[in-house]
Amino acid sequence: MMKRPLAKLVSIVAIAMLAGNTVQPRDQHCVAADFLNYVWQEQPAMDPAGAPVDLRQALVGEVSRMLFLGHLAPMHLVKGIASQQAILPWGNRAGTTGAEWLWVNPGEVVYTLSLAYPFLSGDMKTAVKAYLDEEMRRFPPVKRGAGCWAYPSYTNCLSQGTRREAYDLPDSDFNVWPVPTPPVENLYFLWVYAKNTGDWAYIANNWSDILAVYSDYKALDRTPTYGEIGGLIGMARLAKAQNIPSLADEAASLAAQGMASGVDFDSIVKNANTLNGSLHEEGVFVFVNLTPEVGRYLGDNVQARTKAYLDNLTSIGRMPNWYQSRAESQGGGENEYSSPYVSWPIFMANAYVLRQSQFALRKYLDIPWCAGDLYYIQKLVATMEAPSPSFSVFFPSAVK
Amino acid sequence: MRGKAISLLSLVVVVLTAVSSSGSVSEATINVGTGHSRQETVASYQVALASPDDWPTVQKNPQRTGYASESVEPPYFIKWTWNTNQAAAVRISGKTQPVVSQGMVFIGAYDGRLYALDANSGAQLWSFPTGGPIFHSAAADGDGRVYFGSDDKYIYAVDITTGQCAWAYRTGAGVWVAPLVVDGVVYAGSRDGYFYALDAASGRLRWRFKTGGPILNTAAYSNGRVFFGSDDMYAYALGASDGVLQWRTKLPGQSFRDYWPVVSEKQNVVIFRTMPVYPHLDMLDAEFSAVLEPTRNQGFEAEIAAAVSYLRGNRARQSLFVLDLVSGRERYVAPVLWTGGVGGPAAPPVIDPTGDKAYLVTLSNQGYWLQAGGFYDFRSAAALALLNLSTGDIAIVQPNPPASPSNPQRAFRLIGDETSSLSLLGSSLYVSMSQGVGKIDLSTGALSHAIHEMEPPLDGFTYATNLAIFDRSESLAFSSESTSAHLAPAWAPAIVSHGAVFWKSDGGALVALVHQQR
Repeated sequence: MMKRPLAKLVSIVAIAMLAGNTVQPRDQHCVAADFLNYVWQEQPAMDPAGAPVDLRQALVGEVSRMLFLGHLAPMHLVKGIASQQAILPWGNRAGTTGAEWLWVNPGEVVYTLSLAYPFLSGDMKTAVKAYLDEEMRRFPPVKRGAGCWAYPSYTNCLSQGTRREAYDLPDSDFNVWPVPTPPVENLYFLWVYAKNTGDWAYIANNWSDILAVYSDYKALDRTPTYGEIGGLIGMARLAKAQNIPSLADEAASLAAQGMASGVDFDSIVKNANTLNGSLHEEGVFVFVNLTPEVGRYLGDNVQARTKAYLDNLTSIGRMPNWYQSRAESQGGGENEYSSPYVSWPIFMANAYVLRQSQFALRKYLDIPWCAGDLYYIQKLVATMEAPSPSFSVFFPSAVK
Repeated sequence: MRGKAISLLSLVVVVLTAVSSSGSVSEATINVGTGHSRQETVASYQVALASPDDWPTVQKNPQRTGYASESVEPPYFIKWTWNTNQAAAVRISGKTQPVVSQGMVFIGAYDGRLYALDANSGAQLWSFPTGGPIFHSAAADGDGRVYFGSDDKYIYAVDITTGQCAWAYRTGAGVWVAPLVVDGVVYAGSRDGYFYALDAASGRLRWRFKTGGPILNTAAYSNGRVFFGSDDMYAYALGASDGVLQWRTKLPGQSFRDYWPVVSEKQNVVIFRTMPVYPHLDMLDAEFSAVLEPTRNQGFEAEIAAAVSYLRGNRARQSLFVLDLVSGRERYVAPVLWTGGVGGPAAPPVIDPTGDKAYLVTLSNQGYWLQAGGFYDFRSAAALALLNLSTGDIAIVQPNPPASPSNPQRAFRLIGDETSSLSLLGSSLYVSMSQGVGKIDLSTGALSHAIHEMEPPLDGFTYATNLAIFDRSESLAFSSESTSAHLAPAWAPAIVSHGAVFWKSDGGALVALVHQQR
């Protein structure tokens, strides 16, 4: 049976208090240490052959569409009044209204195709690796001052490639300011890429850029969101792989401290919403870029609150159609659409935090919004990896 | 391709859970067992014959004109309401319009059930469960069946006398449109991108047509052709009998969403509306500054010329398209500016009984609220317009000033940044908005509230969640119990049938209004 570090800690404190002893508050670093196992315990790999055939076929179909279409331009979406000129999910809101841009961050395509990679055939793996090589060459995921992270090449990042939309875009919408910076989440994305493709050389060759992203994030000196905790976990693992134990320990410690703070779920909700703009009232930002590790941490330590929050979000009075592509809007103001940005984090929280079964998640897969719907591909992978009669992920007892 | 119609027996789960709640007239017994024999006793209801006064489909007819010769005149009385209990209300999608046929009202809900009500009393007769939310209107064939789509991917046919499934056809994704029923064929698009034609009697597939995007747009029909938009942003015309492509026309905009094309057979045109690629305040600001401001004191002709010039120079800002029925070519650029509340397509027009003209809402300096002293902005500049379908010219329909200018909060007015959906009931135009229904008597110009869902705020912004009816002087004539307000915008036009106006409220409440003798 899995141990629950925080629950254990609370029990110890409670027993001590009942005994009438004076208990000294634990140093925050001691508390954080309880969470280190989430940094180092990796998601056990499943046998791809054990994944349902129909889901694998769907995955192959979506990946094949991407390979066929070549580089895909980010998706432009105007959902109504509350579309701020924005690069989701990292804010950078420049005006009161404007288009939302999805999948601008090159790290997202790297992460998504890396998640799909183990489930693909040998030939497709080769094709996907070649696709990613070209993507990462043209649009480096962590190289500040280049590609999507610099002006004016940033404008090209929005405009170049096969369009995901069926309509022509207003020229003015390509002028988004300020230019975003690589988010710390990209460090986790790169770790998944290297782990699944075996391309550790990319990590070594781009190490200074990776360090710069990490340093930039540390300089923010703030309580991390759950997505950012995943980024710190990625940094720790990349550093370990680079055989830099001091850096690995530092990043792991920051991740664990974030988790210690993150048991106050409601404060993270507030932080995440603040970071991502006030006009998005759906309240889903707290689950953006959720990784399996952080999902497991939430499930072990904050599950009741997380479930209550999700139950409220998806209730009949809020967003009962949250999972649907192009659904009529029910949150976030006077909008025609629900953005794909709503269904994705809720789905991943169901998969990673609540550990919903494959059967349950299938009900919410729905259909992709367009070719290259990265969120849909992530949902497919999470569904294949979800517990089912023929497969369940087993985590050994927590290790300190 | 072989149809995927499934039999009554294979729908055992659905059938066994069908509910009949009241008003049984006679009973019948059918066998629904599979594997284990089982019998289900179901109610059977006597139904009226189909009538020209039925409103059996979205906007009354397959051309979606939104016109009925019947009218109900004020003063009004609420004959019955349904789904007004906020605590227990079922949620209804915004564009879902109730339909009336053979003495019954049909409306689908988020809970996956199609509800059948007695049109006279509002009593619930039965409800039919599906495996997913129902997002649009049903269509009745006047011969004992009602058809509708569900997000569970099926198109259903249900016997209205028993509430039992006749057949169900599985598509590749959720069906979010209202079916079109013509000459024994049921037509509906699916989010799988296919447009389906099914045999109404058996549910067998007659043909299907693949488009390049999900189909959310309800189809219209005229003279052997079906018309609809797909989110590949083509407007399509297919042969109704064989599904052969007649034409397709690419239109600006990012979606057709869940409204419908409107046909004028007299003028041989089909009218589409699309969702702009600009945020809605951006649309309104641009229209106001580019068209209305420069022509503020130059008269209507100057305004119209500016509107046409603006739309021709900014095709992505055009949101209304009048296409030739036969060729699909655009007839003209009408000087119609976008209005709306959430950035979706502006509501489709309604066609007057001559077939020569269409009523719609646009922005204009001639808007009656602006004329009556509203703030000079796009919110006040909404105007009711009459589009000449032959020439593309528009004229402003100027209602009489609001009846109670001293109490403007209670006066009904068009609002530029709210979605206003229309129906033409007799000589009155009904305007359904997020907070109520206005009625414009086209013969007298009288403008009045028919229903206000929420009692207007006398103290500014505090709304009470009740149904309110106003008389001609805008005095409160009726106020109901609390309703479930603000669950979904009321973007479906009000309808009329057999002496009653039916309206689905903001909160999904269904209201039947009748004339009250005094």
